[in-house]
Amino acid sequence: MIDDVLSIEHLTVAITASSQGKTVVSDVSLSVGRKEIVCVVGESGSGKSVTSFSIMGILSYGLAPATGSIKLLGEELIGASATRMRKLRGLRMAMIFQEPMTALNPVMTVGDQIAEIFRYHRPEMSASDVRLRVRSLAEDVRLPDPANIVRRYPHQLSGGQRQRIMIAMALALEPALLIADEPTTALDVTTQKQILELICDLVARRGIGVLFITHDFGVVAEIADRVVVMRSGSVVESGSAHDVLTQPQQAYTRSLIDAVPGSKLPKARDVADHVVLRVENLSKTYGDSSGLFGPAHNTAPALLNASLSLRKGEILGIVGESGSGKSTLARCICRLQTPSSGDIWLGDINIARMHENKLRNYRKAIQVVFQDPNRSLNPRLRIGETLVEGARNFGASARVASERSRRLLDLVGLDDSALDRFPHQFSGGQRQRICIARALASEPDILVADEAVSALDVSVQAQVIELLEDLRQRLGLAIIFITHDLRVAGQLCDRLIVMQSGRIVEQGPTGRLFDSPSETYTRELLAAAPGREFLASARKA
Amino acid sequence: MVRFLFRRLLSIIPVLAIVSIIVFLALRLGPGDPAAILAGDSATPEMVAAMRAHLGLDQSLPQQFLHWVVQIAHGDLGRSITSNQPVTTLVASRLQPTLALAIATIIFSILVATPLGVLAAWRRGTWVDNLASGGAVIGFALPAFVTGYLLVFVFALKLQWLPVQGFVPLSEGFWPFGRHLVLPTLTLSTIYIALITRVTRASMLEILGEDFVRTARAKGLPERVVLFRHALGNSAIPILSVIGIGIALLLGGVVVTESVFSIPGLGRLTVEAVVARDYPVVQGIIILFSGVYVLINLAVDISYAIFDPRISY
Repeated sequence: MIDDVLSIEHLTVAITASSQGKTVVSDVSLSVGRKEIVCVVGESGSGKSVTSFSIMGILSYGLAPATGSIKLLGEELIGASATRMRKLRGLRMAMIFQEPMTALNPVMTVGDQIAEIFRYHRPEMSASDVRLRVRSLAEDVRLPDPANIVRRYPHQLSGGQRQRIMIAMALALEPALLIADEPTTALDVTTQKQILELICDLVARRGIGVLFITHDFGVVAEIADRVVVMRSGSVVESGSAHDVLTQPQQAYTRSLIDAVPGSKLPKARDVADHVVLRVENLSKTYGDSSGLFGPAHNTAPALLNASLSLRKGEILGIVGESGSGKSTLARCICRLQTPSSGDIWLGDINIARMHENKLRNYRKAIQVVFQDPNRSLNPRLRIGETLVEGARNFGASARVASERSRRLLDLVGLDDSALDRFPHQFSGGQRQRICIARALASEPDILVADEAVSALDVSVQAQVIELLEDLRQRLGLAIIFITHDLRVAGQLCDRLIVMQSGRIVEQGPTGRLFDSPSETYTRELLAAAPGREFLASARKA
Repeated sequence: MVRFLFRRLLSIIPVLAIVSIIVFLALRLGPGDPAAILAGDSATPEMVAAMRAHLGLDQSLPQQFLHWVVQIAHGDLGRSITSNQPVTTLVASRLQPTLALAIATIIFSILVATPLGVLAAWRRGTWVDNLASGGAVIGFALPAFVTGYLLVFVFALKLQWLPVQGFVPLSEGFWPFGRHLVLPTLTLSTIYIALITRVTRASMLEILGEDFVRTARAKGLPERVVLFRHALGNSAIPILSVIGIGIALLLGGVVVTESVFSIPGLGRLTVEAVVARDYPVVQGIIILFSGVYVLINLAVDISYAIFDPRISY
């Protein structure tokens, strides 16, 4: 198999400090050929990133390959000297990462970060040659205005532009292997689509092999030639993309494919006519007050004339890319921010500009669940303490509050033993359940879920979505579900609002919006969702 | 940026105003009477009163304060009660030793402590780290007079490589100037090396876990470039802050070192003036120092913007 760019055989990675030889990756074999995209799919903790770091020789402190072989163009990497590995990194293999903001050095210009690869791998190149190469690389990854963009710092670029810089950097020395570790997970769908296209294009033009790590079978359906499915450090299934997608042999693979949001059609549901929330012409402009020194900052409104209504037991999805104003809208509705103008009617009371003192009584009617369950629970409070806090705040006695917290845990599918434990003792999905229980503690009419499932694995995502659906039915809860992922929204929401640049572009029942979107932007968003053709065919089947 | 500089420089005025009121009151409300000290042990109450009138200390506090403020506004810090020399002249004559010691200490500390902190973070948990971290604890714990006398004992008395004490101005040649400065600099540096090493290590440990450090390694860059350009460059802010605080503290810390090595600097001038209740001198020095503090803070803030393009004023 000399044609293989990469071939891994029986790789096992162990925790060096563990005397029992505890492993995080065991007996993994896979290969990547020229012009081939191999997707490694798995949930967090499946060992897919550890495998890729072993190839690059950049495993973090405390992990080391124990047995097996990794061959890059026939050269054995395990046991290779540090100097040799350093040479190979960049030259023969390169890697791009999930979060292009943190993967780039914030205090160096992006051009310098590309240039330094040449400086250390090709010391013979003159400074002007390096400059030319950097520019042509920026053109290769289709960055706008390459001459100027290379002089910027990472924070001055958009997420997609930063990922393009990462790709330019990876391609600098024309490596044979590109390892892409969830490179589009942190990007908007339309940007994701462009980056995926760029990678496919580079494979075709340059003949590189790509090891693409993802948790999203939608992405797999878009780009993969072959698929390797990993779970708990081992390969559970591998084969051609078509075979694995259409005839998965393992139940686990099947469940991952099924968990891709949007593989099920949203059901039409009856919703009561009782309107619990009405928002009229809500606008918000940040930094619109003039300072003591200097003129007022004239910033564009983050939210402009948004109007919507929400009925009891309804799930309303707000969809949009970053910067579309969806989070601002949510924060204004919860009055975490004060809107610049417009009305928010809770029944017949307008809370849009209500003073903080009076607002307190209405806060319990609207509760929020945030994106990252790891950061929205106080790490030093036991779950029990977190859960009673809200109820105690609004005057419930200690006994009533603790009784209620037990019921809440039961409601979100956790048992009593959770009360005495700390947040770090739970998994991400369990923590998000706790966050939901916390939000429900004050018995709200409206739950605002701000990207509440975006940080979770697909299978966990599906469970939390099921939970929200269940709560809506049992409690008649009205839910505002904010997401950048149209597929998730499609699966859960009765009605959708599509936002772009602070405005509501389109709104309507989910089925109607998916089948016959009237706005171009909605169509673009729908078209950009990865795996849509595959999902469409799966739905028909 | 220009407006930021202007605003910050303007802020010196309220700072100085508040500091001057506090200093003025603290000195006068505290125990001790310069007139009594000057008049001597055998003075009669009449002589002390006459002395007090001569010094203008018989006036009411607001009158004295007003008089002093008007003086400062004319750029005159007054005259020393004990030596009758202008305060500005006194301070100027003591400036060079302190400045030389301070600058040498800061430069030496940064040059030693930053690489040491980087190394300790890079080799976390190994003997290098333990040595650096353990050394830092000792550096914190050792008072300047202990370090100073230890160094004098070894290098000046036993080995006789360096002078025991004293100061030679730069005008008498760099060699004698430098030789006299070595031991005081080492003494004063101990605590700053300890401080900066600790902060560099902590800051580096945090940054070494960042994604862009992994990216730098994945690019195949040499480890020294990963450490010093990518990691240290991003650790600069906390290190700069602590260096800024260090410089500010230095002005106070220099007192003991100057006493140990008999260096005629500002630190010793301050102690002498406080002991003699020499109000104008103490006031003058403190006003001067507080102005310097504001400028150091400003310099630190500007250095933030130089090291981190995300910060702009």
